[in-house]
Amino acid sequence: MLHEFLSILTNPGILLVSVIAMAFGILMGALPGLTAPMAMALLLGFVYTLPTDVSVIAMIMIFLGGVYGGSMSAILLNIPGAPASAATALDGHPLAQQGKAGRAIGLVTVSSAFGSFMGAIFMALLTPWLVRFSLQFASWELLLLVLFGIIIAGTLSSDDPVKGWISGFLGLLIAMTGFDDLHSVPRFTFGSSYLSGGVGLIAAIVGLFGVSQVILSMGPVKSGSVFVTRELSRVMPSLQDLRGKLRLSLQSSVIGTIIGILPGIGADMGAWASYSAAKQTSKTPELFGKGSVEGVIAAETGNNAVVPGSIIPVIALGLPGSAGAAIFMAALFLHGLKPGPTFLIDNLQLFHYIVSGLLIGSVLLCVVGLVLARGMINILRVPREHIMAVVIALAVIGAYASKLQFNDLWMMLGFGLLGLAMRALGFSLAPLVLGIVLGRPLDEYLRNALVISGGDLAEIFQRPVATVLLLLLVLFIALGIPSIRSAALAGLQRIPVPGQGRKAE
Amino acid sequence: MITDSSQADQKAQELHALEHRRREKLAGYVVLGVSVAAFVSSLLMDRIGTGIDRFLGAPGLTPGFLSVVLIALSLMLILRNRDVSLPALPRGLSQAQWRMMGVFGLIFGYILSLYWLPYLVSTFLMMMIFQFGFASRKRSPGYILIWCVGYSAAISGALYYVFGEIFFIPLP
Repeated sequence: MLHEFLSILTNPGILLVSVIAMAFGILMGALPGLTAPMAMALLLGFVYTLPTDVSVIAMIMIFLGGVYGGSMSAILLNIPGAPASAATALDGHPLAQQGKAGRAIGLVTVSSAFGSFMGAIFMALLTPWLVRFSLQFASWELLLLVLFGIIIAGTLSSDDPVKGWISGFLGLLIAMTGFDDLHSVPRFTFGSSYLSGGVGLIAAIVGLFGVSQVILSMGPVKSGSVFVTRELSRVMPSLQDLRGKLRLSLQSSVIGTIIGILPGIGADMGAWASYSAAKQTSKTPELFGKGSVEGVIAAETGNNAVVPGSIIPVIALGLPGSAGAAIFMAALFLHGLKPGPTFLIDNLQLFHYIVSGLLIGSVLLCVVGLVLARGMINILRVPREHIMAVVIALAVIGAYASKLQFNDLWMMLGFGLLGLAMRALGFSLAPLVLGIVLGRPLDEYLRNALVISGGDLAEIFQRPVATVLLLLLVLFIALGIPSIRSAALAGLQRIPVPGQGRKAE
Repeated sequence: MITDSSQADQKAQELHALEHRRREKLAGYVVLGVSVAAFVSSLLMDRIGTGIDRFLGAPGLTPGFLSVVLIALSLMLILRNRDVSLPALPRGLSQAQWRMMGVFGLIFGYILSLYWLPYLVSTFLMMMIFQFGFASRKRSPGYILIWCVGYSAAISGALYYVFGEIFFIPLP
């Protein structure tokens, strides 16, 4: 891995692309309403034209920068640039109100870098282990894994599991469009030669995240941005702020990485889970929500550790851990790579590249973040109509560049409307993207499994991993149905707790 | 006084929840319609192969399975909201909805214009109209127009140069 690490560091071209991608990610993440997946989606069409290794590094930098960037507007405006930064706003904004905006941004930058760095270390350690385990998987296990991913993403990314599942299964169904991979029979093409090639992945993702967000953002007449400060003083965090915070940072990194591995949950859950754990273990929990340094560190370390964490299942299982990771997976697909159990065997060097990119990206995040911090206050003042006009132009370039087809632009617009309708009706977009990305593999696994087993579903129970996955799947589905969940909770409450009965007596 | 306002808040919340359930029911019907259509299409898809492979390897198998799941889920949405009616058609659009329609129309027009106009020109026009139409700064129309023309020319030129000339990305 040292070779890949040094090859990135000693290649000025890759370093330049990394810095530009990182700055773009930070900028996009910082602007309220624009998120890391959207930044990745917008540049997917462009990044796709680069060599695979450069493309992968660029996507990682945008991902890292996008998740971190959201904290800027969270601190300065109390408007999280992305959902992942909502927890940061809780303590970051009060710090800014106390005249410590620079200190808060400095802390956030170092914490994000630490979270990404530790996440990359965990990724290097965990992925080979997970791959060794997943190499035993055949079609049944892979099929159940995809279904499990969709179910868990639907359950956890949405307030209402049923809506989350609908979103995920709709994505899977959309992915069925085009010639099927086994017999080349057209499906849902309506006689259109354009649709025979399937749904344009880039056009769909750009439409869902980019176009729908632009339309939604421009709805209200006023953006409601109120700055707490006009300029930043010192942005370098002091040693005093960081002293004694190693345990907290490590704890948040572990939580963020684990949350990242779970399919479809994303950085926001990583931030909230880390924030909540930090509050429970803190000696000063009363300061949380009032400008606690620990709160800021936990939230930011947690949400950035999700980035490497969510890439782990992409590589080991072919299952993205978040919407951003799904777009990262789409980028790998576009380069002709197939993420999954055999990815590490076929592309070990690229895996080393990804880990090296994440490690270098963590350091770059710190440098670029601290350099951009002062300028960001001016960028955030730019009226949204100037930003959104550029986003539309970028969306069109991104959607068109991959296949050079005008129809992709209409496809993008159609998905923009779908995204808008789904957001308006309270459906989460993350499971939908997961479904679109995983639809084709699911089709392959399902039909292979059925053909090989001769339609004998009992074969699942002869395979221990498949049985466990099936049980987990059933458990998650059952717990997602409100009546079953409340019955289970009521049942748990009726179980006598040892000691309580005696006390009553 | 406090009781009145809390009662009004509670009523507003109840109305909001009711509207939410109505929309959920509508979503259920839309998903149900799409899933039933997808299921019927799956049944009608060509089948290749012989014996059991003709069914287990059928191209319509996975879409059919997914449609059945979606039918079940959409029925769940409809049934849990069976006591509420479908949302009524809006009598008019709010200002925010008009603005959103405007953005959609502008993107639609931008894509359409790319068929006839060069990328640079259509992007410049789209950016100018977008910024002028949705200008949020309280300045004179003349000032805003000059600013929009300058900004749009600079950005569309920069996009054209960076993507088209430096990175050789084909532009629409």
